[in-house]
Amino acid sequence: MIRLCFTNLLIIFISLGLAQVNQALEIIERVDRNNVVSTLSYDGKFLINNDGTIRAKEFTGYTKGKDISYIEFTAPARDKGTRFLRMSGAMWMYLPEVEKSTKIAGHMLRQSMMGSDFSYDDFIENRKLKDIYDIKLIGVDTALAKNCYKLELAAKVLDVNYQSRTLWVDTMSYLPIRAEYYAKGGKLMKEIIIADYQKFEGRNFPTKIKMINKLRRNTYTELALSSIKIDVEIPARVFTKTYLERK
Amino acid sequence: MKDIFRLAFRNFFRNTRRSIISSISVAIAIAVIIFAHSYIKGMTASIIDNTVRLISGHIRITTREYERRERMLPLSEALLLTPELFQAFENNSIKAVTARIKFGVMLGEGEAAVPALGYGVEPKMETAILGFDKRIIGGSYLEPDDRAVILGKELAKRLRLKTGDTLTVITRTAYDSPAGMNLLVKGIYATGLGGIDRSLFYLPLKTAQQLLDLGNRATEIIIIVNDRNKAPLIASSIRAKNPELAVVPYQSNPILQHLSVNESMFMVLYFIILLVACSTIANTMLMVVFERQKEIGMLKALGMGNSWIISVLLIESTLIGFVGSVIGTGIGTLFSYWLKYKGIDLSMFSSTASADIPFGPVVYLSPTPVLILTSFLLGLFASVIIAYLPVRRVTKLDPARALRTI
Repeated sequence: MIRLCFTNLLIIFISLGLAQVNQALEIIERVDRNNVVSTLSYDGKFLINNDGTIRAKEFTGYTKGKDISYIEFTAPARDKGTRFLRMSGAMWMYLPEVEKSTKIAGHMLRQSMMGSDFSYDDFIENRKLKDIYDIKLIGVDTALAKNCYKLELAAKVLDVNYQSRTLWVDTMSYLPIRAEYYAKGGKLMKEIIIADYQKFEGRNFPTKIKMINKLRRNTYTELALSSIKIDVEIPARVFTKTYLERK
Repeated sequence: MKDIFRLAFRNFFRNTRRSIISSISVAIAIAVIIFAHSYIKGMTASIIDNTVRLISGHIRITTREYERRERMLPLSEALLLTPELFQAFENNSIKAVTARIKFGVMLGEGEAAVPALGYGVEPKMETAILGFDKRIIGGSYLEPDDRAVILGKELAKRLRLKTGDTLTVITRTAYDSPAGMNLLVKGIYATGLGGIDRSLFYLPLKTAQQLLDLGNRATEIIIIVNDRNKAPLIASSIRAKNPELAVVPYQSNPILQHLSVNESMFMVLYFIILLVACSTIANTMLMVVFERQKEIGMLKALGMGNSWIISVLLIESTLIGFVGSVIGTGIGTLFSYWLKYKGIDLSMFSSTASADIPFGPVVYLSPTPVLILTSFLLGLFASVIIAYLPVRRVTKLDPARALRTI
């Protein structure tokens, strides 16, 4: 009798555990469905707040799949014409003053992009979270006055930007409206807040993101995206070095 | 008294070879001390001169935050060059004031990339400080409005660039944005200092400000004063007017402070060298006392006092020390003064030195009359003092027993 009770209890616990794993996977799949795009074109604006001084930088970007993207800065005048191309696992930068492109070394991709709190890697990442992290549902929590699922993500592949993440996924929009990114030693590197999003066919896509780099003092960057077009045809020539280096 | 000297003089020649060998050991010690100290003085002077010209001036001014994070070369902590700031430097004791921008950069591409340090400088002001206008070995020196660089000889070689070529500099601005510029290689300089020639390049301040988006800012202000010994005092006065700035006289440079500690250590070393050399005199005098036991016993029996006999022996050791000191001082002085004017070319060794310790390339020895006189007297007194230890055994000699010795 006791053995039977114990076996039943064990089955209940395992079932509950599996249900939680399934629920975590289901949440992250909905997050990925919102964030990960096959193609994307947009206009972007960085508002870089450095100790109260705000600098604005505008750009246009195109993304294709998880590893190809192109960004061209259009303002201010000093940065106009600065372009970035990510393809075949490498990133190239074109500076109009120099009139030639330079490959950005791997470790440099973790550095600030154009002085913002975003790194190059942060900006161009378009991989599904479920492919690169093990997901664990911690419970229900509140963030930015919204009900959220709190998830903990631990890297399951080596080439990740951050070893672990904590996400607060809005139960309504299924967007990680607050996120904390951690380094291998557990040090908090960045905090991200999705302040606004836009509804597209079948998905909610973030349009206002605030990135706080915890390694810098008194800075944060607000990214506003506009003219967003998802799953549109982007000419293949955009993602070429010839296009990057055009005069 | 005359007899004492005559006897001591004769004794010196009783075993000339032994006396000369003892003198030579003192001579070598004294010559080494004069040479080593002159060399160290010369080397210190060379490092001070290069530090002042190439690195810090007599006084270097930065923001406190820049000083704290200097290893990171934080351009965001650059100084704003306002007229009010320069008013603080209006002082009769100040000879020259100039602004510099120091920034790190990788030159070249891929695996051929070379880490380098760029300096934005005011070309006209720097002729009196850096003096690179006199060190150009190819092309010409910078003008204030040039979009050009002068490269160290070794750096140019590593980048395979020559005058007239274009150097592409890609770096990050004060706001951490990527920035680049194509600059004409206007000149190649050679200082003979490996660290400088291998990794430094210079461009006009205005061009550097433009490249790094620094506006009217610079990472440091360099001040040259009329009397370098007054640098700490002048620095204090500037600091009092600008408490938010880090105002550092060159004397506070950790390398130079380390050198002054080393100098004290060398003093101890010289003393040990001298003791070792003089120990041969002590040995000689010990042998003398043993050899002349019978003779000393006879003198004592004839009524000569201990002090008289000790005086004879000490004068003999003084003679040995005097001869050694004269020869050593002569050789050390001649050699040091010769190298004071000729110098020792260390370019072969300094080519591997870092830019942080500007050492060489030619070290001119720095002997001084005080050093020479002190070394001579040191040799002389040490000979007498050390010889006293064996010589005092004379006081314990019993004349009757001494006369019986064979």
